[in-house]
Amino acid sequence: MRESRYWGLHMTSAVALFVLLGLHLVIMHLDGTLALIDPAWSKPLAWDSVLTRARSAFFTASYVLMLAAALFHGFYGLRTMITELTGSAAVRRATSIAVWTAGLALFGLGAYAIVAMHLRVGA
Amino acid sequence: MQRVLLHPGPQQERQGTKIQSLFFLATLAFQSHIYFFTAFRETITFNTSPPRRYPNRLGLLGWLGKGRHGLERYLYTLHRLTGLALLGFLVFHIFVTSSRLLGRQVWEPLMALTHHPVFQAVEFLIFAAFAFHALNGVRLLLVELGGAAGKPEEPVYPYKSSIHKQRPLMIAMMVLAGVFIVLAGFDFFLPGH
Repeated sequence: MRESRYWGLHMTSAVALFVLLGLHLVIMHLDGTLALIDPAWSKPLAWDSVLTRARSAFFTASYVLMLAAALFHGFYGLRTMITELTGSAAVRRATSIAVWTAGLALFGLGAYAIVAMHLRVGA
Repeated sequence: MQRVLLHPGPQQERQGTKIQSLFFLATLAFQSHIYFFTAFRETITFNTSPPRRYPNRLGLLGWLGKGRHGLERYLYTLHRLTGLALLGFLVFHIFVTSSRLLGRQVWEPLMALTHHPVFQAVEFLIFAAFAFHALNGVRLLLVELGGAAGKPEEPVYPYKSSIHKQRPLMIAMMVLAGVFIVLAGFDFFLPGH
C-alpha cells in the first residue's frame, strides 16, 4: 500500500477514534457525571455491566471497530516516529514487519475476546 | 478603493516635518564614514566558503524543539509522547480486558486491583493524555486540511502570520482539554466514585 494511503487511513482512524474512544472514555471514566443523568451508568466495571455491554450488538461492533482503528492509528504513529528517527532502510523494513505482526496479533486476541463474549452471552 | 502601495506603513512613518528630514540628512552626513568602512570591510572579507549545511534530521533532539519555534512545536512533542503512552496502555488494556473470557471469578479480583490508588493515578494520566491527544489532533486535522491556517493573501502591512491565525484554535483546544481533565479529576479522585 502506498504511504499516502496509510496517512489517509491514519487521519480517518483519528476521526473514528475521536468519536468512539471519546464515548468509551466518557462511559468508563466520567461515570460520576453520567450517574447524575441515569444511575444505571454508575458502575461501568461491574461484571453485570460488562455482560450488558457484551450482549449489545452496538457495543460489540463498536469495540471491534475501535480496536482496529486504535491499533492501526497507534502502530502507524509508532512506525512514523521510528522511520523519522532512523535513516536506514533495513530498520524501516524491520519496523514495518514488527508493527504489522504485533498489530494483527493484538487485533486477533482482542477481536476474539469481544466476539466470543458476545456469542457466549447473547445466545 | 485602489491599493497603490504594497507597504504603506513604513512610507507613512517616514513622512515627517521638514526639520526632521534635515536632521536625518545631517545624521547621514556625520555617519557616512561608518557606511563607507562597513562597505569596504565587506568587500575584503567576502565569504568564499561553501554554504553551511543545517541538518534536517534532528533526531530525538528535535523533539525538544531545537531552534526558534512557536508553542505548537512543543505540542508536537507532547502529541508524540502522549501517543506512545496511549499505545503502551492500549496493549496492556487489550490483555486485561480479554481476561473477561475467563469469567467472573477472574474479572472481579482483577478489577478490584485496578482500584488501587497507584493504578487510579496512572489511569487518570492516561485519560489526561487522551484528552490532550484527541483535542490537539482535532487542531492538527483542521490545520492539515487547510481549514485553520487562513487563506493565502497579499502581504499588506501590518502582516498577519499564519501562526497568529491558528493560535486561537490552539488555545481553545487546550482550554477544552483542560475542562475534560478537571472533570475526570472529580470522577477519579472525589470520594464516592
